[in-house]
Amino acid sequence: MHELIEKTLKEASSFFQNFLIHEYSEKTSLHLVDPRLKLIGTFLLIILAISTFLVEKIIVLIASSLILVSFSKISLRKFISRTWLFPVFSFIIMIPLIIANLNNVTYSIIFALRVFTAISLIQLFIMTTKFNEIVFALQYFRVPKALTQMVWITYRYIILMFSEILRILLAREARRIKESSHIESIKKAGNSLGLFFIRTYERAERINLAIMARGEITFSKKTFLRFDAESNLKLESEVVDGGADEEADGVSKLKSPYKSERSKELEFTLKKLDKIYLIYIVVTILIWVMV
Amino acid sequence: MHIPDGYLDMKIAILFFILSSIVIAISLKKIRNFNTPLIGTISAAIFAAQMLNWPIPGGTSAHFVGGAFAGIILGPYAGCLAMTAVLIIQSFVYGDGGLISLGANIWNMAVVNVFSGYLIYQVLRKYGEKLASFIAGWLGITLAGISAGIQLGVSVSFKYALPVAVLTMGFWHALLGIIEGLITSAVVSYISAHSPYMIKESVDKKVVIAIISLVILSPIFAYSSEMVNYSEPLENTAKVLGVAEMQKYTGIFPDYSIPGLGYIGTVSGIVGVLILLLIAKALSMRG
Repeated sequence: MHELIEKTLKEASSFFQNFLIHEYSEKTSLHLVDPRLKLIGTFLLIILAISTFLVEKIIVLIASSLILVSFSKISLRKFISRTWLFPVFSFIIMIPLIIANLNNVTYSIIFALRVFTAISLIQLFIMTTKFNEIVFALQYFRVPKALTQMVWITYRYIILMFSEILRILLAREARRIKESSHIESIKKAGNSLGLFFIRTYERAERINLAIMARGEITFSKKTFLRFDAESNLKLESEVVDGGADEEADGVSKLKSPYKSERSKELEFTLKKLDKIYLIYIVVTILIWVMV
Repeated sequence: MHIPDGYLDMKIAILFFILSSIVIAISLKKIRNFNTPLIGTISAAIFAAQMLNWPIPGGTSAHFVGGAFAGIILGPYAGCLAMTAVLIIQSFVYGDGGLISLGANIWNMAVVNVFSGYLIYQVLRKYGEKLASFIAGWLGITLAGISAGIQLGVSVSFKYALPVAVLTMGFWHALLGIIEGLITSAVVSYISAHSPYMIKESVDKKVVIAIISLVILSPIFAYSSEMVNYSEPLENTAKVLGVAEMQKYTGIFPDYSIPGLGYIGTVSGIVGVLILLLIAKALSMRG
């Protein structure tokens, strides 16, 4: 089972680096654009990217996303390291087609470029938008509140859940005295996973009852769940610490008003940024249509 | 199995967005509102369990997906919602799976996998907990893979033919699904031995059967939507505006009918991308 734990830890460290990308990427001008605008803009540009096979149009979109990258001063190396894998993979799976018919080279390259465009647009969005803002944007676009609330709770509890599962696995591994085969280790790890789910279920029921007792689940149409960026950060660290408090504290924070980083002095320039972003998207679409 | 953007045709992606939304809406109606924190917490646990990296003999590793498992312990509706929450986070935080193809991904892993896993488990339960959950886990993931293969194969943008895509996806997932089945069986048998109250007994059969038939019919929807003579709305607009005489929709890949010309275009395109990358690098170094 030690292999499982080792590999999982390696995987998890890279996962959490990605998971908390908005926390350690620098604050850029793109961070300050309204998340709803960014979501729509990203959606539109991806639709443009996947509805064409013309090289010129795809180049327009790649250029557009790269210009955004350089003007918002995201590190290009970080950006490429998050986008290169899927396009290369897409090209590799097309190699049999190329071997069958050399004319397919063009198709394969354009296919990979299309995937690259779509992925870099998504990554640009992800790297500059916090998850609470994304949930806020989703809610604004009428995604059912029950679903967004579920997504939000899932997001907040992932770190706690991972530390719990790791604790169980480590405890089992510490008590192991002889080598076990693959099947055996799957069986043992499966048992610990079962234990983990039983504990989770009990914890989930406690959380659910605590939330219900406080009367926080209401789904009237007028009340939005709104998030406070700062208290979210605090919440994350509380969740990492674990303990009994998080059930009591967790969801009450959902009600605090949505502030994000837009402080009042900066309001004017930030609105300007929104406009600039909008104009930028419109110009990109126009160029795409005309090329 | 997360399909990125660019693999599926737009109409296939939109079709599966609609189908998934229907199932999610039914599920949201079926669960009671105050259960959302419970489902949210358990989907966080499924997320954590997906992070485990199971070593396979031969040096590689596999992941637990947990669709059938979610269906078995939460019931199909709550299981579907839990997996949907997991997939939404994967695509919006991790970039796993695209935005436009999110509907198709939800369809494969939160609808096909969960509902078929649940149904198989319920049907086979009388032959023993272990066997039923193994087959539910294995067949659930295989069916999800086949469903992804159908979506890819029907799409024109993905040039492989339907049988090739379905066979490849089905074969790989049937192989990797063995691990999924083993883990599901170990977990479910442990839970049913130690706290059997967690496992959902049964739900309204009519709705489940309706959704399963939707799952079975979905390839036909996909195929027929592909058959309808259709071109992308944006290109239509471009045509109406008269700005794009070049791109009449004459066939699957009209732009490559003159291979030499297309080839030159692509090469210059790649050079263009490289130059852009260099410029962007220079600009970002300044910052």
